[in-house]
Amino acid sequence: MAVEITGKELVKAAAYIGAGIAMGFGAIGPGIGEGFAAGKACEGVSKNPEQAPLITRTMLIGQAVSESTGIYSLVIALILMFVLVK
Amino acid sequence: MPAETIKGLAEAIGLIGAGVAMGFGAIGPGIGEGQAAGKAVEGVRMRPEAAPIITRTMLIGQAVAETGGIFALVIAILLVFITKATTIPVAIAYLSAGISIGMGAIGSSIGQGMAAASACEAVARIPNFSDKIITFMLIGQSAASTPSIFALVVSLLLMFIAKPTTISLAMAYLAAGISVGMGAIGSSVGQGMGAAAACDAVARRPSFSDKVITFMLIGQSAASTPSIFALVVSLLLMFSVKDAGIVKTAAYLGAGISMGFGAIGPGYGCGFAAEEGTRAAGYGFSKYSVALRTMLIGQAVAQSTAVYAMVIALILIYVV
Repeated sequence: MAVEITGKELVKAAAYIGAGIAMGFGAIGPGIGEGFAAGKACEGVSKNPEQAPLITRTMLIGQAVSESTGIYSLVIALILMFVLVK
Repeated sequence: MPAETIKGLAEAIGLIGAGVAMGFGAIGPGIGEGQAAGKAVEGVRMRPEAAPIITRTMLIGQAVAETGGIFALVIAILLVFITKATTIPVAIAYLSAGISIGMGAIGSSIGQGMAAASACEAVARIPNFSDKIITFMLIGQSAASTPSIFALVVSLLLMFIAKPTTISLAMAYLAAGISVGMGAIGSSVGQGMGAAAACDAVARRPSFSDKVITFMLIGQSAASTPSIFALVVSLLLMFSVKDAGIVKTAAYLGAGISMGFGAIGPGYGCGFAAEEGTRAAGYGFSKYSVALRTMLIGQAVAQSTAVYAMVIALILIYVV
């Protein structure tokens, strides 16, 4: 390529691709896991409708925990985009 | 590089796109139709007298599950015989068209195959209800095919509308193909899970079929959301980006990767919730609203990472 690329630009470019990889792959696990919890909650509510509030609460707590890695990915992606690249 | 070499290289990259389209595109139909065949064989073994109706159900279901493979075949043939890239950027757009339909066909055929397998099982159990079961299978399968149709549309746009002139634009188009292609996988498998549960549920309690279809369609539409996000990001990457330097080009690529891969998990997870919700509807208990609420709350939470992925993608396209 005729265009000169500086080292700083290369770092920026890599950080942006890295942000995409972090958030993209990081979103897979929480999505599947939270959906699994949601499915089991549906099953539970259908068998035991009077326990619905307790089941829903348990589902939400479990999903909040399984969300954590998704939020880590989001934080890392934001750091890569806005903090490292100055 | 001499002009002749660049021309040859461009043609080669376009042809690799054809290989990617058909190679990845063949995964889903193989798995999905095989699953249907397995359940049909099992059903015929248990109930030999119902063999003709089980075989018919299998063939109808497999024919629908084949569509993704046929989309991939059509794009591959077009890439081999009709289009001919002469510049590297256009060749990258063709490669992206191959990635889009190749990846996009995986999920829909697996999902449709799951529905077909469940329908074969149900028909083997209650051959008298075969008409209703086949109807449910076809409705569920058609919903599960939408993400692959998104991928097909983006593929055709990449082949015939997008004519990138620079490497930077070509990379944005590549990202568009990755986004819609990968983004289709989770949603369509998820929708297939919902359809499979509906086929099973309607065979157990045919009198609750209206509830079952309501839960299936609501669950499936929630499961399709991540693929719609992926389509939106992909269209933005094709039609709203400008030629830019290496940094911005990398940001476009990152946006496509973020949205494409980020849509897989939420689509699949929402499908799992749709599956269990639809099954619950089939039991015919009294509190439908409670089950529907639980399913939708669970799906909304499972959707969150797809929203994060879209936010990161939009920041990468427009802000940084």
